Amino acid sequence: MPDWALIPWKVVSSFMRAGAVANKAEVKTGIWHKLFTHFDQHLNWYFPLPAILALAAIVAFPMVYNIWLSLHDWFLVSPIGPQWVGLQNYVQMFQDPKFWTTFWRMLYFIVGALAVQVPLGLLLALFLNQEFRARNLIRTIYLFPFAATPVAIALVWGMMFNPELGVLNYFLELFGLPRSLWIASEKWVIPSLILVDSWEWTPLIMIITLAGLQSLPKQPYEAAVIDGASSWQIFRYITLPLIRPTLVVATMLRSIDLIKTFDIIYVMTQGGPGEASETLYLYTYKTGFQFFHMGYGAALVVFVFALVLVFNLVLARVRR
Amino acid sequence: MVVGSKKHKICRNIFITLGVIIVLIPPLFVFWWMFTSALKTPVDILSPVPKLIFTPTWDNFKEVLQQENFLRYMWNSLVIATFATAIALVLGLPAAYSIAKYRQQKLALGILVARMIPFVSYLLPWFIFFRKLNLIDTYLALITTHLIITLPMTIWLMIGYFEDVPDDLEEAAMVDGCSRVRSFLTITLPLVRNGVVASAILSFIFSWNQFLFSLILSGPRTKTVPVAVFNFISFEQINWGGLSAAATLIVLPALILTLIIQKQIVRGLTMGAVKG
Amino acid sequence: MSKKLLVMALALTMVLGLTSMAMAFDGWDQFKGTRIRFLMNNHPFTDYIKTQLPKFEEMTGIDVVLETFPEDQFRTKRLIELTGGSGSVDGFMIMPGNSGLQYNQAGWLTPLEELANNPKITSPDFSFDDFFAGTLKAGQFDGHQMTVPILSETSLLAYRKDLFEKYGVKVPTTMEELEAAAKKLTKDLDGDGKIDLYGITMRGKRAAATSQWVDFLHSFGGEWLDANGKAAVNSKEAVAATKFYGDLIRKYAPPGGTNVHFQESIAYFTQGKAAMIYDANVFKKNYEDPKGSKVAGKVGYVLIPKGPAGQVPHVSGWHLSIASNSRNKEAAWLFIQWATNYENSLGALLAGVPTARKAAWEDPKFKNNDTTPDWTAESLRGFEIGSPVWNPPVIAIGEVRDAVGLAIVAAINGEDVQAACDKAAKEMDAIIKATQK
Repeated sequence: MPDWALIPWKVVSSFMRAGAVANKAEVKTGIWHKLFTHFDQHLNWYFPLPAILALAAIVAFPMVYNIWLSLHDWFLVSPIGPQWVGLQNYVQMFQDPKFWTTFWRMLYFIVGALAVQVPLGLLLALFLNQEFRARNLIRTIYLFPFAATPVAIALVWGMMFNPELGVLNYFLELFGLPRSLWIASEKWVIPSLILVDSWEWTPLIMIITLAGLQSLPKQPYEAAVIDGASSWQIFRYITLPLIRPTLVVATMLRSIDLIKTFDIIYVMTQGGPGEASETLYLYTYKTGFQFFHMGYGAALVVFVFALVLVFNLVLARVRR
Repeated sequence: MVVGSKKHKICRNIFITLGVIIVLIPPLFVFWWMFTSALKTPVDILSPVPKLIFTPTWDNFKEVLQQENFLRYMWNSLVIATFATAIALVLGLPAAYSIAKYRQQKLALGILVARMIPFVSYLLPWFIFFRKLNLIDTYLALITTHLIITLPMTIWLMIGYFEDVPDDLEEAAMVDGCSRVRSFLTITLPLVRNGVVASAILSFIFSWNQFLFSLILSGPRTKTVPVAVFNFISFEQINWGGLSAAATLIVLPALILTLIIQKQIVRGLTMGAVKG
Repeated sequence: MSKKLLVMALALTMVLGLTSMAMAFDGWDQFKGTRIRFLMNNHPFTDYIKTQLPKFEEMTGIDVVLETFPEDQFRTKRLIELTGGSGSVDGFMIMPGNSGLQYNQAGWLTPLEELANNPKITSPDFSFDDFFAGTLKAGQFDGHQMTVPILSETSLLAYRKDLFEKYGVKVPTTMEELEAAAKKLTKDLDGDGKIDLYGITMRGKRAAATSQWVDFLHSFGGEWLDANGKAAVNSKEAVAATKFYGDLIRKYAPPGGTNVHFQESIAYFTQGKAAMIYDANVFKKNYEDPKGSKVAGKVGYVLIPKGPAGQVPHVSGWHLSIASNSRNKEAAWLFIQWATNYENSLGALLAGVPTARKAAWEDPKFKNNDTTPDWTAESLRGFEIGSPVWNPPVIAIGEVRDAVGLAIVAAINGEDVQAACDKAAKEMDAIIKATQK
């Protein structure tokens, strides 16, 4: 282990020693004791401080740099360096038809994915909320999709989607259904990507919702059964309202991740066919790292960040 | 639930069995397809009718392990994920404790924001930054950047665990003259050890899976497996066998870890979302 | 007399000594202990040279790190490393026809004449004249030779000889014959109402499609830019070429053509799903590999058929270049000389890489074992008659290819080609205006 990795441990252990010393009633003076007492009484400051400093160091620099960059015009391969242009990149952004098409496409992707994942996750959770033997097995297996490396998973789905050689079309035909072009069709590429994303992430919604279901109070149900309510009525008027906050939180968490969906789209379609799966996030990446418009790319990054922030604030409000 | 007649019970059993089968097919099929493709010859993989019975071959795995220096990349990923996780615990546990105990909600959200920043925005600034420090292609650079994933995750998961620890336990200890730091270390931490394990494993898995940072900041000495697996989209054609074998090798450790501590993971994942 | 003789003898030994010194270049190990780093594309040439690398390291004592990435990641990585200006990259693979203009403008390439003219670090065996003139020229910018070519690339129409014979199809020499052949070979073989043999497969994936589409463009008489440097992709000829290309894919290629890159296209051909493929000649290696291909040994090769404006394939190539801020330019130069020397060029050629070194193609070791002489003949003819203009001659190549790629996608989808080309031209002009001030 390198030396620098040991520093936090040294700090912790020296404080522990100081704590042990301070504990002995006879040693209540001296600089160590004073320092320790100060530290101990301001844990709300000192405990989060290292984490905050670390995060600030890793996060602050790129953010500041991006904002600075977004106020410049910089074509990376041009001999001229960054040129100050003020807010021009932002003006250009809202006039850029590609910005809007990729923005709406991203919304389509997000809404579509949520429309699949939230009801499906709820359904699965309701099913697993029953008592039966295979329950734990299912729950365990449902951890696999989002623990598996997205790049690898996307590559495997890419193979299965191949319209001529892939296994999915074979199954469609087996059941007498027409073949699909999957990610090779402009119409079906987003639904196909939603399928992959849902395969990966519906389990998370299921697990969160299941935990929510299991923490629900018992009394309303007992009362309802006595009143002779039907299963549907119980679900509609008791379970759903009670589970709603959990679902909303899960939805918000997913939304934030959906905005930033990169790995699966990048690996499977690179935004194609044509531009049918180019979402705002992918457009941002392309603008910066394929077309080298660093200033404009940075403006797009700032916009995506602002969008995520808004979702995050909504999430905060909901949680409260 | 109301216990019905025998007939009702049979119906329910059929319904549940069917449900279990339907529910299990999607996740299992994809993994099964990946594993079996890794064991097939190039011709078998591309067979128009999927072959259920085939002579398995280890050639794909051999190819991956020999040609691509794969074990070295596995080792790199292991080192980076381990340190990123360990440092996240050292920094994150006290922070999460403080947030839970002193109800520092704003801080919690601030930390979550760090996790929410689109990763694309880190690429160029970090590259320039680490180049200035001459740290490209070092473990240090990669571990530092992977903290962006592991640290907020650890904090966020641990808040829930710390909130569950009743205040009276610590207060009782403090009445006995125990310092806060000591009670944190000797009383609270042991109580939340399940949570520590869960956040450690989740951090490890997500660091292991990270693709974009490693692509830009790693080099020949520190290349990680997700980047290496990408090399199997080889220049000339779809090497589906090699791809599947590489995918299997990279996915397997994450799956095994998940299996080992599945209960803690479920609790860890649900904690942050359900509470609140 | 004796004195004269002595002088003559001395002079003679000196000359002989000099020649023998010149013949055996002994400067190989002068940078012993140096470590150089090259960024390489994941490519058959890289695979080959990796197997030979220990020989170079032993001869020179130079530690060579070849870092390999798949093409997209390779470009990203190369760009970021060079932008960072860290000087930790000594050299890299480059397609001058793709990134040359950009990289030259950014000042990231090293003029090689100075190195090549320094006998201390250049083996007398090395000469720029040994490479195909057209390919070599692609690496010249501002009057300097910036790169050394590794291989020449052109595109070839590969076709299934067995199927052509079975169904009595003539090898196409004109565009009309190409379409007729594709039509005739799009077949339902087992009579279940579904097509299971397609006439042709070609790239249809946005930017990637332009690489082969450009040969149709030129053969129909179109150009990327007109004489004034304005986009010409909506000219009458360009629209006709685009429509023809799109129709071929829509009607006679496997469905989902707009998501087909070369990987998918090759898979269709090698799995016997398509009777013809039009793609880069380097892929012969894949067609003829019995391990992964069902059609090995059954493939014939010709250049693109004649269009209204003649037969105009393109010629491009992968080259090696030295980073302008490298601290080990001399050692990197030694590596480039060695990697492109006769022995390695021949070895690469035998491994299926169409080397850019002329003489290797004449070597009996290659000629006598050539199982695909039509590939060899047509490749060489392509290098000769091919147009060096392959990618759009602009700075923002990726962006322009993306824009034009959309027009090709529209043509494949059977949409209004004129409108799509007009849109692409408009966008192209805007991009040029924004990036070439």
